[in-house]
Amino acid sequence: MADISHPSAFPSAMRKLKSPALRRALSEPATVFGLVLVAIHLFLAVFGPWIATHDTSALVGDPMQIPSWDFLMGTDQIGRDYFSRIINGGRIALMVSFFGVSLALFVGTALGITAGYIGGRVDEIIMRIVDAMMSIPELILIAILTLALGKDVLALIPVIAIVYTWGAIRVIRAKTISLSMLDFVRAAELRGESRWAIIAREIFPNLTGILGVELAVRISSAVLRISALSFLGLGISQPTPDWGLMVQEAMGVVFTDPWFLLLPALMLSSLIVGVNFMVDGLSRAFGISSSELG
Amino acid sequence: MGSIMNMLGRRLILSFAILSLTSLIVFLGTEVLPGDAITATIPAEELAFYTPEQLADLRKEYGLDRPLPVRFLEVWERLFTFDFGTTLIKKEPVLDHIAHPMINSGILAGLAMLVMLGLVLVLGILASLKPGGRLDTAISATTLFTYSMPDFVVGNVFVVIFAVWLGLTPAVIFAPTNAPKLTILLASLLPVAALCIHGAAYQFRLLRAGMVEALNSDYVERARLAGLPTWYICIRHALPVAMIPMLNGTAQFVAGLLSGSVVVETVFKYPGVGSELLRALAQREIPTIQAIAFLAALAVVTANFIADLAILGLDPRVRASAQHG
Amino acid sequence: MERTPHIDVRNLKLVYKTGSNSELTALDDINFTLGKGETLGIVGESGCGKSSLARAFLSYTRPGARIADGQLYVSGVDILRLDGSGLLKYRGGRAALVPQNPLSSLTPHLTIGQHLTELIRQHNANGGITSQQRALDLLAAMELPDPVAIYKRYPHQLSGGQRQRVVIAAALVAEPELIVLDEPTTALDKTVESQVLLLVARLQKETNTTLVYVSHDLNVIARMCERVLVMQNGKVVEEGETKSVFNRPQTEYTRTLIAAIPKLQHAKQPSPVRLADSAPILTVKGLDFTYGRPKNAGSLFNVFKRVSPPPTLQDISLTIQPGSTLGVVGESGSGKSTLASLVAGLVDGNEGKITFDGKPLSGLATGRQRELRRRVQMIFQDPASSLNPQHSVEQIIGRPLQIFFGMTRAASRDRIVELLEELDLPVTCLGRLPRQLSGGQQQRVAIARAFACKPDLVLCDEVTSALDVTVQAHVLGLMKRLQREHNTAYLFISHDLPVVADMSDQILVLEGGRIRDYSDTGTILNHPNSPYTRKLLEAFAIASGHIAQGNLKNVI
Repeated sequence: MADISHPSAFPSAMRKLKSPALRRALSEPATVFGLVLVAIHLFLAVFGPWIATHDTSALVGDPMQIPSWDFLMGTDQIGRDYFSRIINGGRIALMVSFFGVSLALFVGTALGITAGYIGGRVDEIIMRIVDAMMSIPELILIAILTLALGKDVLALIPVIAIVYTWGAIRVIRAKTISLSMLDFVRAAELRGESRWAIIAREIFPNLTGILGVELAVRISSAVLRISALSFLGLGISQPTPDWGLMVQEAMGVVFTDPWFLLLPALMLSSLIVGVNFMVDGLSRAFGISSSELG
Repeated sequence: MGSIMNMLGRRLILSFAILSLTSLIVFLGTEVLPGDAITATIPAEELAFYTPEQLADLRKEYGLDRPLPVRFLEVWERLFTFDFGTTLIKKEPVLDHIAHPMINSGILAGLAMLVMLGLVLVLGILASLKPGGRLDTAISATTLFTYSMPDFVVGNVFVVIFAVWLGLTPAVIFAPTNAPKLTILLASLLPVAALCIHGAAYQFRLLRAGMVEALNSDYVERARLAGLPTWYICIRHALPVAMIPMLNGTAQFVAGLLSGSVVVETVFKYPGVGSELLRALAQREIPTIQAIAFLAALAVVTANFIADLAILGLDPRVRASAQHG
Repeated sequence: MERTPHIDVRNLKLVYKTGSNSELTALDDINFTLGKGETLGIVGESGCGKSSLARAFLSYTRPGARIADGQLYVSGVDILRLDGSGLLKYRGGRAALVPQNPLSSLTPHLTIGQHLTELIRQHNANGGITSQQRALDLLAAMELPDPVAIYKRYPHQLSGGQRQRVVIAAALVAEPELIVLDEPTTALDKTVESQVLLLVARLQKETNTTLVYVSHDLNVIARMCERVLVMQNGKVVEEGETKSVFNRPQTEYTRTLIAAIPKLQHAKQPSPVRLADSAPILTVKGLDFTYGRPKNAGSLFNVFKRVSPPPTLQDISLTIQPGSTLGVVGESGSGKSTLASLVAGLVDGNEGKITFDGKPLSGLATGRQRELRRRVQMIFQDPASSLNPQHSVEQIIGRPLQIFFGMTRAASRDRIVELLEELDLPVTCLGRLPRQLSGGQQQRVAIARAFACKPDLVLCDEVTSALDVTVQAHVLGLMKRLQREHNTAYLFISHDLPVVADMSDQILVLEGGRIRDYSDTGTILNHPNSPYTRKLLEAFAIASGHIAQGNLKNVI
């Protein structure tokens, strides 16, 4: 009962993997499915412009052409290459989400550790602000912030950062509190380590797992929010390609060409599905109690 | 008992403080950050034609030349008395604009919440009867899948399936905001379904995590070993404890539901507060935006307060700590 | 009639699923029989499969496990083949299990009355009276004071002993013919355990129930059971009459197990430095302590005040000579851990009443001089908590070397290896993370970390409570050797009187924050001053006496 890591009938390639947790993760089809989807999306995000060579915003042909060698998926309502727009429709949102969420996690970790480890009045003040921020529905908060900071793509980064900081504070604070209860923190205090050293040496290394989970889950959630925003006309605006925006454009032609709507929807969903399946599987295998997804 | 009332009183004060802080955030976001309401209201291209004197006059007219704290107190008073003031340009009461859409959105969100709770409880119990079993795996995988579906995608796919391919429903809802509420109720069926696909999955995952933990507990093992039937153990011993993580996530859940309903309302052209908000944002109607944001936060805080009450009812240990703390 | 045994276990095999195609055998080829009304003890260290076997008597396996082979007959019926309503009637009806931890085994949101009445209804066991009356009768039979009040309470409102009595009452609802007790008193204080054991023995005798008692504690088994089964790694290594097994063990493992039990006797060799000759290394004089307001008190929204807690420690005075051990013994809530925290400087508020080597040892550790922090070290109860899971053994032991001796990583290497050797740890441990070590190895790493500082005083807070008895014996032996070699003083805190007696030159008995007894070990053991110490000694002595003196008279 104590030792339950005796692999006996794993394929030989898997046995070569050093980490039993990784081996456990890769033995689940759902996790592999998620990893593959995420890999495809990352590949497209990096190499998109080399795969689909048409300018995504240029009018390159007649509107609504059927697929051809030149335009693999035909052209859209105003004559842009649809394939290029589908391939590149996630890049901007992904980039904005990545930088925004990274910033949010940076600030959130700093404040979360402070609130959790220092505690007392600092904790009380930080957490009340968190409660207040989190009682405004995300979308409304984003809308207000875009009003304040402008709709420029670069302005979306601080917007995302501001919106996602609060949840990060909550998660990191909870984990920090449970870590600070452990005796290795007591032992460090008895050695006379400074607060800063305890945070950096003792607490932070134990947060990396949960930070990884948070990064992945919140990026996917931010991509979702940004595309919803673009769909509502509040986020990324024309002519930049964006799946949310493309769904909105397609609403007008949904009766004649529903695929214009379904394709970007499929791209967006497959990214989110991929991230969530990957994170769900990995965090279970590595024993990270994943914070509430989202 | 008196100490429980004390605790409730403290929670109420806290909720009030949080809402005040929320209104401050909304105030700062809408009136301060973008310069001020005047420059925000006038489109950039027209702004060039105003002289500084004219702008100063306008500011005086709208009371924007007064110091920030005074203006915030005014906004705060407006929000907490449900007065909301008048629109900037036309000077019509904001409340007249948003009352009906608010009620319609309330119907949509309320209905979605009821359907979701029922769905989540049934699925949660079914899945936890045999953790790791076929039914559990199927439900868990499906919900992880639907959880990853953006709400506007689900909404639009519903439109494609039910309106375009099956022709069962009109693609969009043609009902005015002040239509009879029964019409609204009927019109809300597809939007509710779209909201549940995403939202129920989130709640289900919290409940299932709680159920799995409860079912792995010593007290459930003892109940099993004492010969109590599985369904009875699930409902009487495990469920009340398992619901607590879900209830703790109520604030986030309701906030997410309101975000989602703005999107879903737009997809189905539902006559709710979502379109009102989008119009207000486009026209930079700051009092309207403030009112909607405040009412949304009020809904979140209220739901959270009710969830706290439910937790108090479910767990005597929380009641005990309320009595000591 | 007498020919068929009441319980007959044949070729029982239980496996745990460990991967998609791999299994681990937790119970292998178990065979034994038991007559009606007999008492059987099952003893072994953690992971030996005794808990799995206990559950098999109720035809139950934990999630992930399954019975792979064998039969288990109770009154001639193979209960492993039961299912559906037959199984529900058997469990709790004909056989019942009393679980280990009574707090976590009671549903937190149900009252004691609800716990009992739901079982009475399920098993139609009200015997002509109302379920409520039956539940109250059961509570009264458990010698619980004021059953009516207990009936209405929630589990968290009861004491540990009361909870355990409630759990036993729940097991007895349907007057089962077989009762399985799985470490029922491990979570209890020794004096409470003693009372609960008496109750169980009385009930067993009155009803002539067959009783299976699972425990890691040989003393308890010796006291409760006529027959015993010694288990190791899922197999039965020895079986027979308790008396003969304990007096004339046949296998090496049983002998090791018995030898490892700390005897209630003063075994420690006197320390090299004669006690009275030198100045004390630690002096505590008239120390009072009350936990203040918790961290979050006085917060912005905490409008309502709280009641001040009762004092944790009152008028504590003690001295420890260099190189000697002062044992502090007490039950939960006695304030013994608080005492260690105050000396260590984990909590503030000793107001200069503690002196170390002539210098005041005040306030929090962070405010003390570095030299003082080096000379006073602490070892915690649970190494899983006191070792950072992300740090390697080298980092863990090396950190104090860097801080207190300014060693570089390279320089500290040799010293770390030396410390590992002193603690019987292989050098290959260096790069390992704590979770890659066993519990005993983890605790030895924690000890190495303390001794890396070359301390003069080490505070030991329940350092072996989480360990198996053979591992405990090893660790205690190492600690004694280290003390001799380095002339280190110990403040040795434990609830386990025999362990404390084994380690200490002097013993201080704490109860409710006050000193009840304070003398050298021999005096405490042979001529205790206070009634409380006598009660404590009795609770430990009853059982220990049986094995140590080979004088087995069952209480039953």
